[in-house]
Amino acid sequence: MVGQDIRSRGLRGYLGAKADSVFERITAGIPWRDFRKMLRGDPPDRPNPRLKPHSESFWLHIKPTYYHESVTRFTHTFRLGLLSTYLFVVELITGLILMIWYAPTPERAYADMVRLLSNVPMGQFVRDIHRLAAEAMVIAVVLHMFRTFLTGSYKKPRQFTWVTGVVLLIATLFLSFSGYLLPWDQLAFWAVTIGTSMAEASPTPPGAGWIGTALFGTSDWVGQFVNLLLRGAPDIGAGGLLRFYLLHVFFLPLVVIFFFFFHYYKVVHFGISLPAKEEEVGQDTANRVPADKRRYYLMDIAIDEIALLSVVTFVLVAVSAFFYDAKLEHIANPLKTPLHTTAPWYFYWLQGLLKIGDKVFWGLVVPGILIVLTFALPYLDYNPSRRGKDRRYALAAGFLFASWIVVLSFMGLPLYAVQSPPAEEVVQEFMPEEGVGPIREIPWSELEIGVYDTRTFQGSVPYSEFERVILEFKERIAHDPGLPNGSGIITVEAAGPGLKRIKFQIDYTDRDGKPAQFIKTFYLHESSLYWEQFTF
Amino acid sequence: MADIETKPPVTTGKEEQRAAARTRVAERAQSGDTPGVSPDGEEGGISEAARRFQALKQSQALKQSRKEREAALLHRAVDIAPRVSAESLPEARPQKAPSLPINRREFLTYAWGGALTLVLAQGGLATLWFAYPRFKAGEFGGVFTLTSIPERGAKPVENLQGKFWWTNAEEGGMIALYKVCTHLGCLYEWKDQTRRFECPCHGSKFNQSGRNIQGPATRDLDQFVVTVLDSAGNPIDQTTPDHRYVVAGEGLTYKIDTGRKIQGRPSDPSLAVEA
Repeated sequence: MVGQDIRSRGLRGYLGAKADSVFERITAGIPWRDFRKMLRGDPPDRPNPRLKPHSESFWLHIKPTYYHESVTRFTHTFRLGLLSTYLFVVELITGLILMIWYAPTPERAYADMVRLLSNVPMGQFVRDIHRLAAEAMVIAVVLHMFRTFLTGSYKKPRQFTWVTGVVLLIATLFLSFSGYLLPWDQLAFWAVTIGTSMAEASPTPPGAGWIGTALFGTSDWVGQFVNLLLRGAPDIGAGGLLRFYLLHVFFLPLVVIFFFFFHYYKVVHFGISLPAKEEEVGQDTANRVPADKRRYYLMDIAIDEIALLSVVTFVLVAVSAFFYDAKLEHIANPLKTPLHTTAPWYFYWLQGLLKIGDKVFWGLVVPGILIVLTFALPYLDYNPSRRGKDRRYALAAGFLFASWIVVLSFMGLPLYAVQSPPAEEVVQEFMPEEGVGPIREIPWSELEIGVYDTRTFQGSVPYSEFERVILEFKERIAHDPGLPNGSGIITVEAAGPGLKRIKFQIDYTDRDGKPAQFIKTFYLHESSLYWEQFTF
Repeated sequence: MADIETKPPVTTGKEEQRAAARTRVAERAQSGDTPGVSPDGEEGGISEAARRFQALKQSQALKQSRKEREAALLHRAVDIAPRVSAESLPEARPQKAPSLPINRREFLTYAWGGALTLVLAQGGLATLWFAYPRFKAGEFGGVFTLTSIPERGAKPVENLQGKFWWTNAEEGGMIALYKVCTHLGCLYEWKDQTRRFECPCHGSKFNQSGRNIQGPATRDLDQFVVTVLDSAGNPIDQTTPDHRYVVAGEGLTYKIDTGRKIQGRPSDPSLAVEA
């Protein structure tokens, strides 16, 4: 047989045909010649071989063969769904790599983080990407949802697509938050303590009290039960860390993957809704694409997508390498809550709500209503029109809601209603309990031993970095209305080999007119390397 | 055997499809979606313009006749209908599809479906039971014995192991305040400059005796049960929810039971202070 083939076509022709058939198997149906035509931008042959991979190959069968030209414009969707999915994949990959150097126990977790950052090639880089992509994913998912709201794409028949999307948003937020505890630093420990305390506020539904009385000896049991399930003990410890780890690496990703396919199936099934102007009110023609409006996935859209994701990857890598450092605070200390402990920024709105009052009402009832309303939006908004001018009230409500969240987020910042006494706030600005601050950024060698009294300190031009910070410190105290007759002394002493003790002292006149004093002491080690991180 | 014989005659697939298509087209024509399409599904012969013309005529005729029909209906309702009271009218019943009795197969599906749901629910509950932590209440603490007290109204003394602040309240009397903020579980701190407890997370403030005076917390600080023993070792006083401050004095022994916690009272708005 082979001999016959070679005789009839010649060796070259025979091998060519063989190679082409192998190529066709790899591309699931596109021969080499048409592959090249595809890359060249030529129209396909008849019958169109570029449709075959959509039915033959696994990865392409979930992609539509073609889209309506109007929905492929970048500004219609901003490709935010694709971006969210891609960032999730980035998280899966970087997360898997990070797991190599991490064990979820209080004894090892923090030490593993330090080793990862100081002793593993590219350890900090992988962690930075993982963290950065997580935050980017939260942004992408929220923007994706907002875009869907603005174009009214949640309307009939896509209501349930929206519902699965809200599940994905919530899962994304919890994925991000559950990762918070894993480094076992102060930020992690206290943010999660607050989070689980909120779960503790869950009220027991009326009529269910007897279960608690029978099993736990208290009728108000639901909050306590949820809290214990999450923490694994009355306080966060080994049990809590392991539970959050399992949620983070196993349970929540499973939820996301499941609902992703749910969501994506519906997106493909109904098609991406056209711009509202292009169809009649109440009509849905996304799946009836006229032949002249079709843009085929192969190769146009595929190239668009690959190009976008390449740019995103480049930005992620560049930002993680040069501009972004995932923070690591001091090791978790269950005996000390650091000043200005905050939630992650995407929960600032919740923190703002919690400052208003009662944690059951503001921490559970109000967010609960918000979540239910978000789920129910497509069923409540019965207006069939997706056009902006017909949706004045809906759009106004949407923007009002968004600005309300912004205001609440501002209220979540420490500067709103969590101010400590003035002298303590001043020291916190220059040397925060967690994080960096101006003093820690000063190079170790420039932080000279000595006593610096703001009443007499002059410095000499050109100022060293330390001198400049002392002058700022002086200005800051002098202009604080809470510190009349205020003055400060910074004492830098050697406290051991490679260790400096930095003492802040602020003298002022208190409300009763009596002299008062505030003293706070820090230690700084030569190998802390705060200055290296922040000066390239 | 009997079952098979009662089945309708078998048709070929193509015939069936054609029949289905015919009924679909007929339905569409009736509902007025595509005027001009005859029920038998053949559009042949009628041009586009002719069809539009037909449709236009139909709609005009409809408009005219509608008014006439409305008037006629009204006329009939008023004049021809028998004069009866509303009560004597038979209840209007919506037409029902003939009811399907539950057969054995359907019933059994509900039965085992329900049983399966129950088993799954049990599995879920069992998982929660499995995941419920095992611990002893008051694990961190135990009983702490103290013999010294701070001065009345002075800065409270922190007890790190017992997680409490040992306070000689301004009002008079000893109180062991649990270190955890009643809002969301952060550890509050004593501030010398403002002479009160302040929480670093959401800004709740408590005065020297643990009463909530500002911020989102809605109750005073929790406290541990303190038992006071005299020099002979006899108990002379103990904290209860109604008796929160135990006697302060030199030479007394205090036993603080960190396994027994008393919840703080709801915040007293009269104690509230401005930021």
